[in-house]
Amino acid sequence: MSDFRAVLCTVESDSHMWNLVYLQLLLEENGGDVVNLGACTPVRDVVEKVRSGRPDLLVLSSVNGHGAHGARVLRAALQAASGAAVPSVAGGKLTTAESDNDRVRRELLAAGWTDVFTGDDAVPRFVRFLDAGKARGFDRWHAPEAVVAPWDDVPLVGTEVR
Amino acid sequence: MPGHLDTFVAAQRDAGRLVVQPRMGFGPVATMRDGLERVAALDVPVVGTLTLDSYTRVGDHVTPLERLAAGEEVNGYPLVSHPPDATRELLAGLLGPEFPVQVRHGTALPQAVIRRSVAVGLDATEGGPVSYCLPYSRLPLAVAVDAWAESCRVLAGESEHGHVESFGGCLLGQLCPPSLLVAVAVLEALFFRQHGVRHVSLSYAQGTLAEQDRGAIRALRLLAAEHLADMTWHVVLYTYMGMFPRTPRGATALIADSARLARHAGCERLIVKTVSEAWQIPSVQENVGALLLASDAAQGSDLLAADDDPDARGFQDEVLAEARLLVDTVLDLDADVGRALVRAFERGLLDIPFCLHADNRGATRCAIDDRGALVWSQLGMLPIGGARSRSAGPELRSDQLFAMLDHVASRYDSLQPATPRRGAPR
Repeated sequence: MSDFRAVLCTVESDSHMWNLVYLQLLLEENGGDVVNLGACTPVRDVVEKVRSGRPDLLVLSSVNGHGAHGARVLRAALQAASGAAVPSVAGGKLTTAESDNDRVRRELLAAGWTDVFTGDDAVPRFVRFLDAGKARGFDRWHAPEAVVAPWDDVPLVGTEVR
Repeated sequence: MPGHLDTFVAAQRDAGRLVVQPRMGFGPVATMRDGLERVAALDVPVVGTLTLDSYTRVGDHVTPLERLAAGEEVNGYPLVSHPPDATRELLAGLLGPEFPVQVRHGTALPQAVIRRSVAVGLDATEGGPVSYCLPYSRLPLAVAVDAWAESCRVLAGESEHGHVESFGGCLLGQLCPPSLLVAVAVLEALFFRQHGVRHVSLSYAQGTLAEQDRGAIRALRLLAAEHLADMTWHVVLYTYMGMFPRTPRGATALIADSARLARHAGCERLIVKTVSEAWQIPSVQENVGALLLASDAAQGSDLLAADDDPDARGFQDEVLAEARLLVDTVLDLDADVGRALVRAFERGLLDIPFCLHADNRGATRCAIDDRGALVWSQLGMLPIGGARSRSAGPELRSDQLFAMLDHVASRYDSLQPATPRRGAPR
């Protein structure tokens, strides 16, 4: 018996598969019943799965450096389809430069993502999130605020959502 | 008479020299030209590469030009978007018998790429109906099969010496037992032949254990000789395609080992990775450095006859037996190789470990055994393994999967500084 139901996806431009294979195992070990939507996931497939399957958690993983853009697009599509209530997290290598991680985290949190997991300790932080979510509900999670460096208060270029 | 790529590779083979090749691709014509010029100028046997961008890969030929016009980067050369004359100028004075250029693109629907390649005088490409569909695309396999059949006919019909390299030896890049890589490479070559292509190469991705790789590559050559006697063919090795070592020392040692493996096993061509592979898209300089590194390492190594390589013998026999069974089983399904491939995946007779594509059954698993070799841990419906148990083994844990994905990188990253040049880990 599973503790929670999760939909696992990536962004349309990302053809990597190993991160999704790995995360499916990790989610299952932590009590998840996982629908893995596979590489290059079309936004409409994610929206449809969220609407029809009513999962407890949506997990987006991307490692090709364009995940931040894809995550914004997906969030907008979920909102347009009234699917925005599902707790949702994004992680991996979401930008081409590690130095953008904090800014991207801030933006995605502001856009409605429940939490964002990047960097060397992404996996252990994600597991702690799963533990807390199982105990209290994923929608009760309060993501730690991103560090705002004083030189880092300009928005990312290209934040518009297609 | 074969074209530039085949003629050049054959001449280097006769001279006992390994041909090296980068994966380089840049968006702007001038940058791409600079990269090609610097590769062509090298004093080692080298083939040039036009790696196409990821928009072209999915059939979007507008966005690359928009992004380039906006001064942004594109991760490859948008061959279909740039005007044909721009590409002809790009290649003018470079492309020729002494400097063949191959188009590398990654598209499951390659018709537009192939048509444009042929139009600008590029007759060497790579991919395949299975190898560019199941690992990278959501397209149904049957659709990719039709698209590749049409593309092969265009290439064969409109170029004198069209060459296609099967990417079948690189499925998902890592954690695939060699017999399936060998089988898919040979099957894709037979598919290319059915659709008129007469010049092919067969790929093989460096795995986790050199003895196993040497045995597998020899098995590939034996199987290719049996099936492709009426074609021009050679074998192209890929430097390890999985998680790459993060230390310069580890990455350098892995690249050099791939070059030695290529020579030992008689591969004609090597697609080289760069030292900075783990964390960024490599520059021209890094590509050039990696090509020289690989070519240098290859020069110190000679062809190793199977008889002089007892460590590899068992692997060769095993891979040859399994791959032959896979190929024969698939060819028995239908006289049309494309339909046979589709049916084989439907029935799980071909089944790529860990591949999430909807047309892949996903009942097989690969593991790394005590020797460090890639082995089947779940056979699924594969027509191999004889009486071995078909029941699913113990559940694979995420940390075990991660350890396998990281196996090569961590081994090379832990190399000690004093490691002598020949001291490759076994």
